[in-house]
Amino acid sequence: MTGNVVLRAVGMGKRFGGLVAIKALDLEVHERAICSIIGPNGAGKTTAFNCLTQLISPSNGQVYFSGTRIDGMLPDMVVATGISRTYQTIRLFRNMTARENVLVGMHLHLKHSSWWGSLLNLRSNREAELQAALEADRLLGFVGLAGKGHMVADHLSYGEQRRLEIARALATRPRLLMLDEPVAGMNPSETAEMAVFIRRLRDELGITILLIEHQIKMVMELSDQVVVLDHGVKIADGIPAEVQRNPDVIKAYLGSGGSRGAKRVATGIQQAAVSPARESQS
Amino acid sequence: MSDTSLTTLPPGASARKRINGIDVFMWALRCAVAAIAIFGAVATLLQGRYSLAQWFDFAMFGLTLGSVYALIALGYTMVYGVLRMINFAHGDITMTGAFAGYFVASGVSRNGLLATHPVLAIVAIFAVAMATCIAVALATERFAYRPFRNSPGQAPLICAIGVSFVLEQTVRGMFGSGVKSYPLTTWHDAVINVAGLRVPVVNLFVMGCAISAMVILYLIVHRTRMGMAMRAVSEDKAAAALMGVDVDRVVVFAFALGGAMAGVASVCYALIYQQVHFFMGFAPGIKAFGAAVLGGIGSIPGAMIGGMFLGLIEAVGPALFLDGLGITAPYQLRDAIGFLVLLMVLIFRPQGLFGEAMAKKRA
Amino acid sequence: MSMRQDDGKTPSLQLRRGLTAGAAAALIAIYLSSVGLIAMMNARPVIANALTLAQMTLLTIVFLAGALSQRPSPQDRTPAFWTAPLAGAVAGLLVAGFAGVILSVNLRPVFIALVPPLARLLTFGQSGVDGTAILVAGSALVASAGAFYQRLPDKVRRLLFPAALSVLLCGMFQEFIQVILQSNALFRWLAPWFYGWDGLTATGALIVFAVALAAAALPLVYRKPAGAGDVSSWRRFVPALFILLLLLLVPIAGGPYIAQVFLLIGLYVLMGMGLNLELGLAGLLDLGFVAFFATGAYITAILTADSPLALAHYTAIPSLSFWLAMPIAVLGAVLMGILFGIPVLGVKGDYLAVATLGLGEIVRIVVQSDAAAPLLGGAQGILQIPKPQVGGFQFGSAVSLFYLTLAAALFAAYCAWRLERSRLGRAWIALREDEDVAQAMGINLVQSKLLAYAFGAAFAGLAGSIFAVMVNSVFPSSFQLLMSINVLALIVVGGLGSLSGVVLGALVLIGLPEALREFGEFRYLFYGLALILTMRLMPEGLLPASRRRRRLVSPIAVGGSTPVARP
Ligand SMILES: Nc1ncnc2c1ncn2[C@@H]1O[C@H](COP(=O)(O)OP(=O)(O)OP(=O)(O)O)[C@@H](O)[C@H]1O
Ligand SMILES: [Mg+2]
Repeated sequence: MTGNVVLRAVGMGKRFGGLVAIKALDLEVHERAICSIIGPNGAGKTTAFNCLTQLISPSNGQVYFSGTRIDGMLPDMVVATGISRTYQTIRLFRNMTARENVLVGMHLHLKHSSWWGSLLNLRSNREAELQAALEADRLLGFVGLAGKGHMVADHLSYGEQRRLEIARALATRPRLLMLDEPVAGMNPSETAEMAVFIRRLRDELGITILLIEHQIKMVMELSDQVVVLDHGVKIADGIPAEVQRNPDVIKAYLGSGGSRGAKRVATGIQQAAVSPARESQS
Repeated sequence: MSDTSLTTLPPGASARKRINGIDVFMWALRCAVAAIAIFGAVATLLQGRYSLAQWFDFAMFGLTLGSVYALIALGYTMVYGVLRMINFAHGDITMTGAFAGYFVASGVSRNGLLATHPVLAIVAIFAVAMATCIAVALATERFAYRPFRNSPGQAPLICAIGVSFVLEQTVRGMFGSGVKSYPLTTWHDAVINVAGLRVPVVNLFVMGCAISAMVILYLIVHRTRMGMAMRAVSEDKAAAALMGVDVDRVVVFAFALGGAMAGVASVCYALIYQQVHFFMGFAPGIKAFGAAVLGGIGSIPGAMIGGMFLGLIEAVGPALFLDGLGITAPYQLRDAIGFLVLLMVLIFRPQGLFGEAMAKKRA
Repeated sequence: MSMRQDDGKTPSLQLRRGLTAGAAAALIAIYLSSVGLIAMMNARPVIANALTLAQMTLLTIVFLAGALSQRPSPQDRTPAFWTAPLAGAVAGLLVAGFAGVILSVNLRPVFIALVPPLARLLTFGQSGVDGTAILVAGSALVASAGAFYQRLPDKVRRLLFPAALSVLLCGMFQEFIQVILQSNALFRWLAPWFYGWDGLTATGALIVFAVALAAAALPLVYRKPAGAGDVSSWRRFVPALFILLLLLLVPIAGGPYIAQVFLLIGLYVLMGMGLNLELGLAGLLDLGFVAFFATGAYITAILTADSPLALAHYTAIPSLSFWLAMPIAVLGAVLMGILFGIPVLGVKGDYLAVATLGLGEIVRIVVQSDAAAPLLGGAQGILQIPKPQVGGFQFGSAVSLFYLTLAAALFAAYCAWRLERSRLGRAWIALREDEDVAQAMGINLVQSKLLAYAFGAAFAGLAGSIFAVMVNSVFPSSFQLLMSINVLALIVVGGLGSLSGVVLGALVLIGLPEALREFGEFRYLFYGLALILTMRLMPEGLLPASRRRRRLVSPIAVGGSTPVARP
C-alpha cells in the first residue's frame, strides 16, 4: 500500500439506543488505495459510512481526514474537505434532471454564482454557470451518460441512476469517494464494467476509493485493502489474500445466523480463497 | 442532526458537536422563555394577587380542559401511529360531533327528557356525537386520505387542510354561522365542597368521562386482536402486512377509535364552554396535536399527560407567568401560551417528553 | 365503491356502476343544496329567464354522472350505454325523494337551507307522481346526453367544451362584461346583441356558442407546419402576453370595482410568488406566512401614518413617505422571516407546517392583545395611512394602486424567475427533494433555508406595505391564519413552483369569489374543495411548473444528441 493515510477513524462507535451498530472501529485508508468494507447484512457497514461522512454523528471516537478532524462537523463541511459518497438505496434528486443533479454536486465550487449575482444577471455569474454546465456534461460523459443531461433523474434506468449518483459525487471533486454497494442489482456484465470504472477513477483521477460490496469476487480482484465487519466489530483488515484466508472471516460468514445472503457471500469467499488464479483468468 | 443519544454517553467518550451561532440563538431562546416564566411566576407569587382557592380553580379548569385536549390528542396519536400523517382536520371532526350533540341536547331539553331522565339523555348525546364523529372520520379517511396512502411529500397534509375547510364550511352552510348555546343541564352549576374548596360537578364529570374513555381505549389497543394489529402496523407497516394484517382495516379502525374519542371530547368541550360554533374545533385541534407530540406521539398515556399538561399551563399560565410582569389583560394571551408550548415542543422535543422510541422510528 | 374484480362485464357490474354514478350525483346535489349553495346560485342567471346557475349546476351534475358512467375502467373496458340513463334516473329519483322529504318534514330548525322553495327548485317546479316521472325521464335524458358526449371523438369534445364554457362565463359574469362593453365606444354597439337588462339573452348565448366554437376550430383549420420546433418557444409566451394585456387593460375599462378586485389579485400574486419560493422550491410548508405580510403592513403604518401610534409622534424619527417606508418594510419583513426561520430550522415535514402555524398565530394574538396596544394599537389598529405620492400625483384610486402593484409583481416575478434558475434555486430544489443528501453535497442548510424564508418574507412584506396604503389602516384581524391558507391554496391550485400558475391561481381563487360577490361566504368551502380536488386529480396544479426548468442553464447539446423536451 502506497501513500499516506488519508482517512483515519480511531475508536469510532455508534449506538442506536441499546443496539451497538459499530463498536470502536479503527480504520486507516491510504491515499490512492481501493479499500473495501465487507460483512454480512446488518454488520454496520452503511452505518460506518454514515458516521464517517457525519450524516449521523458517531457516539464515540474520532475521525480524521488528511489530518483534519472531521467528526462533529456538519456534512456540508465534510464534503468540502474532499469526501463524497453514494448511497445504498439510490438517493438522487429525483425530479431534477441529470445535469441539475450534477450541478448540485458542484454547489461548493460555484461560489462565483451567487444569488445576488443571479438577480442582477452578472456576467461573472453567467460565465460560472456556463462553465459548470460544460463541466457537468463532461462528467456525465465520463460516467457514460453523455446526452442524457436533460433527462429527469427519475426516468433514467437503474444502472444509469447508479452512474449518475457517482457523477454527482464526483462533481464535488472529492479526494475520497465512498461507494455503498455500487453494483447491487446489476447483472454480471454491468458489474464487470463497474469494476473497470472504479479502477479508472483511481488510476485516472487519483481518487481514493472506499467501497462497500457484497460481491466478494469483485472485492477481491479490485481492492488493495479489505476490512471485514461483523456485528459492528472489525474482525479482519489487510490485503485481500490475507483476509480471505482468515478463519474468523469464514466463520463469521458461515456462523452468522445462516441468512441466505451471508451463505452466498461465504461461498463466494471460499471459492475465491480456493481458486484465486482460475477466477482471475476467466 | 441533533442526536439525543449524545447526552447518554459514558464518561470519557470523545464525540463532540460544534457549537454554532444557531445553537447559541436557540439556547438564548430557551433561556428567555424559561426566564420569563420563572421571573413572572416569582413576581406573581410575591405580589400574592391570587388566593389559594383561585389557584385551585385555575388548576381545576386546566385539568378539565386538559382532559378534553387529551381526548382529541388521542385521535392524532392513533392516526399518526398507523399512517405517519397529521390528520389536520381532526379538530373539525370533533366540531361536527359537538354540533350533533347540540341538536340532540336541544331536542331532549325541549321535550323534557333531559330533566326527567338525565342519564338517558346524556348517554344519547354522547352516542350521537360519537357516531357522527366516527362517520365523518371514516368518510374523510375514505375519500380524502386513502388515495394518498403512499404518496410522499406534502400532498396528504395539504389535502387534510382542505378537508378541514370543507368540514367547517359545510357545518356553517348547513347549520348557520351563529354561536349556538348549549342547553344547560340541571346539575351544571352544582358544586361540591372538598376540604373547603369548591369543585364544580361539570369538571368532575368531564374528567371522569375523559379518563374512563381513555382507559377503555387503552384496553382496546392493548388487549384486543385489532389493537394488537394496530400496534403492529404502527411499528412497521410492511412487516405487519406480510404477517397477514389487513392494513386497510387497521387504518379504518384507528380512524374510528380516534373519531369515538373526538365524539366524547366534543360533548365534554361543549359542556365546559356551553356553546358550539363552526370554527370551535380548529384551535383545540392544533393545540391537542401539540399535546400528542408532547406526550410522545403514538403513546396513549403520553397523550393523556400531554393534554393535562397543556390544559394546566393554559389555565394557570396567564395568571402565573404574565400577571406578575405587569402585562395588561394577560388572559388575551392564553392561546398564545398554548401555541408557545406547542412550538417549544415541536422545536426542542419533537420526540416527546418520554419518547425516544418513536423519534427513532420517524428518523 | 370498490368494485371487485370477479364478474368481468356482466350486467350486475354495469348495474352497480349505473346505480353508484346516480347515487353519487344525487348525493352531490343534496350536499350542495344542504349547504345553501343551490338556493344562492338560483339568484344568478346564466341565460336570462331560461337558465339559472343553480339549474345549470344540477344539469351538469347529472350530465357528468352520465359521462363518467361511460369511462372505461380496468374491470370493464366497454361500458354499456344503458348505465347512463340508469344513473340519470336514479339521480332524478333520489333528488325528487329528497325534495319530497323537505316538503313533508320541517327540517328548517336544524338545516337552515332546507326550505320548501329549495324543493321546488330541485324538482324544476314539478310535483306529484307525474312530475316525478317527468323529472326521472328528463334526468335520464340529460345523463344520456352526457354519455353521448363522452363517446364523441376527442376532437369534437375539444370544440364543444370551450364553447359551452364560454357561454357559461359570458352569462355568469354579465355585469362585468357589460360594464367593460359599455365603457368603450368601440364595443358599445355590441352589448345589445348579447345582453338584455337581466342578463345574457338566448340569442346572445347562441352567438357566443357559435363564435367560441369557430374560435376553437381555427387551430384545426390552420394546421401549423409540422416539425416547426421553435414555434413552441414563442407560443409559450402568448398566454403570458395575453394575460399581461388583460391585466393592463381590464382595470381601466372595468371601473373602480374591477380595479379593486385586480389590485387584490395582484397582492395575492405577490404573496403567492413569495410562498412559492418557500414551498414550491425549497419545500418549506409555511402556514405562518401571513406574519410577514403583517410585518410589512405594520412597519409601513408606523412609519407613515398620521396617528398617535406613528413613530414620528413619539420619537425623533420624522414621518416618512411611502417610498421610503416601503423598502424599510421589506427589510423588516426579511428580518422577521429570518427570526421566524431560525427556531424552526430543525423542524421537518408536517411538523414544520404546524410549528409555523403556531408562530403565525402567536404573532397575531400578541399584536391583537391589549398588552401590545400602546405600540401597535391592539384590536383598534393603526389608522390614517396616507396614500403614496409622486410629485403632484397621488396613488389615490384603486386603478393607480393596481398599477403600482402590477409593477411590484413584475419586479418580484423577475426576481423569482432569476432565483429559480440560480445556484441558490437549485440548492432549494435539492433541499426539497432530499434534505440530507443536499447537505452531503455541500449545501449549507441554515443559509439556504433562511434565504428562502427571507425572500418569501420580502415578497409578502412588499404586498403588506401596499395593502396598508390600499386600506389606509391596519388591523390585526386582517392578518388571520386564513390568509396564509388562501395563499397556499392559490399556489397549490395554480401549480407548485410555477410562476404563471400563481397568477392563474390568484385569478381563480381570489378573483372568482370577488366577482361572484354573493358567494363570498362560500369562498372557503370553495378553497377546501379546490385543495382536495387539485391534490387528487391534478397534483401538479392547473399550470404545472414548466419542464423547461428541468433543462436549466443553457441547453447544451452534447455528443450530437438533441435535447428533447419532455412532454
Ligand atoms: N437509524 C437507525 N436507527 C436504529 N438502528 C439502525 C439505524 N440504522 C441502522 N440501524 C441498525 O444498525 C445495524 C447496522 O445497519 P447497517 O445498515 O449499517 O448494516 P449494513 O452492514 O449496511 O447491512 P446491509 O448489508 O444490509 O446494507 C442494523 O442492525 C440496523 O438495524
Ligand atoms: Mg448497508
